[in-house]
Amino acid sequence: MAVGLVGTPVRRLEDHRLLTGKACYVADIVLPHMLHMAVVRSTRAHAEIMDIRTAAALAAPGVRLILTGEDVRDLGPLPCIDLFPDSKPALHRVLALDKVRYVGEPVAVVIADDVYAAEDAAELVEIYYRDLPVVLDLEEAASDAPPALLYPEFGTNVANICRQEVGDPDAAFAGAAHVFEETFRIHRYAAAPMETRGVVADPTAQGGRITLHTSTQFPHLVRAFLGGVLGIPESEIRVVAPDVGGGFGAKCEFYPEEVVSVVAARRLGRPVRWIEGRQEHFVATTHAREQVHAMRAAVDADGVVTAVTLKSLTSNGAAMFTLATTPASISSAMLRGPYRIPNYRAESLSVLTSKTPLAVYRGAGHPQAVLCMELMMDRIARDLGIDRIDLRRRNMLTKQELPSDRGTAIVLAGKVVYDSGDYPGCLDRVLELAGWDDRLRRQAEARAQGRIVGLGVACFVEETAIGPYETGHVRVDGSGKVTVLTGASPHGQGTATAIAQLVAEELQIPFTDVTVRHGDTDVVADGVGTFASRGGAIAGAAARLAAHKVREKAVLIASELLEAAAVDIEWVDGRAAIVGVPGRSVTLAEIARRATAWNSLPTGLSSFNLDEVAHHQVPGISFANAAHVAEVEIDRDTGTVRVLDYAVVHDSGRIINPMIVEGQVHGGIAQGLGGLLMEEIAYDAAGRPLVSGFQDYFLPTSAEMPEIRTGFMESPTPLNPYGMKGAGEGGTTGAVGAIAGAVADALVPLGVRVAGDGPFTPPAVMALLAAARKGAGA
Amino acid sequence: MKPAPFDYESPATLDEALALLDRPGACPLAGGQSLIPSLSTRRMRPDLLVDLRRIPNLRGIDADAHSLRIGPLVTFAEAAASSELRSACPLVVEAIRHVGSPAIRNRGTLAGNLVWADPASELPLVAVALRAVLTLRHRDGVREVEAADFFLGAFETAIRPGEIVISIRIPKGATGARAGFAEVSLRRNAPALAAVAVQIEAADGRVRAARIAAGSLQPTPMRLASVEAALEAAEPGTDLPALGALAAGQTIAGLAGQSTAGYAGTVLPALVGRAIASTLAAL
Repeated sequence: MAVGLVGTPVRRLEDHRLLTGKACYVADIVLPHMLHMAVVRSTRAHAEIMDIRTAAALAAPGVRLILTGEDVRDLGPLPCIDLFPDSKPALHRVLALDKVRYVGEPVAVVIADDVYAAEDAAELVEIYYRDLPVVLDLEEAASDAPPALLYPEFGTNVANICRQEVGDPDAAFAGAAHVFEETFRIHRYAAAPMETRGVVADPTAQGGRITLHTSTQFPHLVRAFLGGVLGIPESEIRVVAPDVGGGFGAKCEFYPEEVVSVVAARRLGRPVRWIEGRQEHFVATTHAREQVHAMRAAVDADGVVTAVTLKSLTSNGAAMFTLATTPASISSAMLRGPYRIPNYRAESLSVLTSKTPLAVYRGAGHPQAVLCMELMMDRIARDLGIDRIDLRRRNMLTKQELPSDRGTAIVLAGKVVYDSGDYPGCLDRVLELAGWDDRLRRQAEARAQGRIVGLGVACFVEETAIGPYETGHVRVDGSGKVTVLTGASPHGQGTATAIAQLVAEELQIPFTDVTVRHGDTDVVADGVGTFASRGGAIAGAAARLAAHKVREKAVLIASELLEAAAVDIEWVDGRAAIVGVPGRSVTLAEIARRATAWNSLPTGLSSFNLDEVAHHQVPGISFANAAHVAEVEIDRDTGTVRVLDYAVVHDSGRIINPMIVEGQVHGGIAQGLGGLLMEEIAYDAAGRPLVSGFQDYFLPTSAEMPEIRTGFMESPTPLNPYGMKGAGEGGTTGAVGAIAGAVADALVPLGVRVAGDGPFTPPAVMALLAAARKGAGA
Repeated sequence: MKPAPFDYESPATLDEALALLDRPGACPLAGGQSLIPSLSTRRMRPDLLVDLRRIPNLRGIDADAHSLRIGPLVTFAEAAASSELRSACPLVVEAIRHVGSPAIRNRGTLAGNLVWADPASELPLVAVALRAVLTLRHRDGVREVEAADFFLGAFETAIRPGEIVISIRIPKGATGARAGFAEVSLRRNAPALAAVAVQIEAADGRVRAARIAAGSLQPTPMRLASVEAALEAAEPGTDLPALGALAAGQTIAGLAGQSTAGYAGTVLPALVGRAIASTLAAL
């Protein structure tokens, strides 16, 4: 009997291994004769390198090799794949040459017999700097008179401008009954996966090929990038992503250690290992979020938002990493969310600053966009005396208006055309789930008692399941078991289980008979990777398409074995049976054995083996949507924000495994909550980060999480053969909007206007309350 | 990251340990919950680690008529499970609920926590509130230091090179003493942004003894003597949390010129009120 079919909340195939300590992360890989690398990083935020002296370090015990920028000056910079044609290509070098531009930039590497010797010797590398002015403030950095230019050759710190233009916003503003303006700020924080990054570069494979084990979300892209930087064919490179302990976008980047470890390993002829420390992680792995959005909204007399304009700045840090313009691109393309707003203009600048490079993190630019749009909606409603839900409904695209070409575009992904969904229906459902009217009544009672209680609602539409394509390879061997090779590179999402369910449904077999392999470019010939909520939907579709081809081929083979016409064969419970003839059937294993190379070619077939490959080419972006409601209470005496209650209705199309999707949504909400309430990477005036690890950067725990009530809608997308959209990021995107909205709502009666400016830590909230009291007294 | 090179000794006797600790650059190792991470980040670079684990008689909690003596290798988990501490010094047990995670409480020691003197940690203010006395041993002798004199600044104490804490003595509270601990932190078990420790002995509606200290207000724990006095002078039926908050507010106002209070100063009166209220609820 086939169990674990699509739509069933089966437990994840991955979990037993992961939860019983049997996972194999990069740090678990130990190779013979392996050497260890330590990275010497800049301690200055912006400086010229006057001299690097390595003699003392080279003489230290166990040291095998030291590389500096001079040694790798011929290697190309690290690619940025989302540059625009007129972007300033401020690309990161493998090792700094002549200048450093952020604290943590790799300046040299030391390779030694063990990691202790490498780190001891790294301290002996002497680097002489001449400090240059640092550029930290976003507005200053983007201005005509910045404190410094990070790349003087460009004459500006603005590396990219992303523009969106829809309709005629000027005319809409000219005719507006009301105009609202607000500047929203979102602070800098980071993905902070449980596993830091790490590499083991092994040059000892047959024929001198290089194997790079790396904690990445996209091994096939790493192979391509590495080949490009080193100038060697991809066939000489094998990239392996073993078990990866979370990525959230931070491992969807190509990093200098992935190159320099390979250079060192090839030079020495021995494997080289580097495991990022947690303190190192906070300067060496991309940060996220930091943006300023100056937003204007034109509203007519009925509360219809007729136009929005946006000027946004993203603090990209000191170089454009792999996906550098995507946060600005997404937040500008998606700002209007589910709201009609027919006229729109955005100018979104990616700005270079003296900080660790910034790139994508769960939700990429969506959380920032949702925070801005939903806080703006609440403000319009409040100022015009319109119910905030009613205002949203008036402006929301209806089901009948879809598909809807929004007139914007997202870099790499393409045109924004909302495909399917029921945004007002989703809002209605979450209000019902949250008990909205009851909550409003209780909020009024709480306020009358002097408590500070706020309700936030966030509706959003989100780019998911982007292309360009993904691969699936399904093979049935003589045991009757199925092996799937997928181009996705899951790292905690449960994608292997989801793919197994899809393939099992197609072949009508138990999903536990399906083994899914991924993350090794020698095993999976081609693939794109796991990011942008694409694994389940895109890789899942590719695997299922391949399984469908396998089943068609199996029917042809069965027709020979059963001596019946293919049209007379039906597929039941993993067997091919003759329609209407009970007992006449063959199993998948029997069919697979018939197709092996030591038999004759089955009649009517042109190839051996029950083995098919499929590509799912993505015709366009599919857009998920959701509505979130958060209730918070602020402790008047201490400024502590507590999320009391949470409800979410999520629509990511057809669901493969509801338990996995619910887990994705809940985990996403936790990360949204953490980012908004406690996580921040601040810098001092000299450009030194004030975070040194988990002793001063706190992630939320179960103790901070509210009970979450979760509902689902399933609006299938026509862009996927099985109707699936992506579900990985929506939880975070919605939580940032809903919790920010709830905090803002809570503080309205106290005269505090919240425009981002998180995280809402107890001291930050007390400062807001104190400022409000001062304002009221003045 | 990995530690800089160091030597390691695990002596079997206290005398041997004290001799080793007299060497320059020596550092004692107890539970290691603060020391080991600091070695790994190379913030601390001792030449020699002297592990105390094999030395007999450094564990256990003993009582005499007037006080409890906590050995230097007693962990948070052991202290939290001690029925003697729970009845005679309930504040210790109450405060430990806010310390780290279970894994940290299983290894971290009370003595180590006091010597580390992190202004955001809980035990130093408990020690100051309860008038704990630390016995310090050096190869050349023994001395006793009151907790109030032990803490000199952030991460700075009166302990001298070569000395270790060999006991923490806490005067017993009367039977029926109750405690409350109020803390604000970024999340559960994160370091305190502000904290107040209260232990009260009451009889016939009167406060016989109040023990109150505040953390994070200044680099060292601060005993709130005026709040203690106000509670001890209160007539039966007084709203003690309100009285305590008021007295704490006056103490903060007195500090204002020092501009060290910051966030903790702002929230302290409320925390004092809450800690007292939760103490009374337990009475």
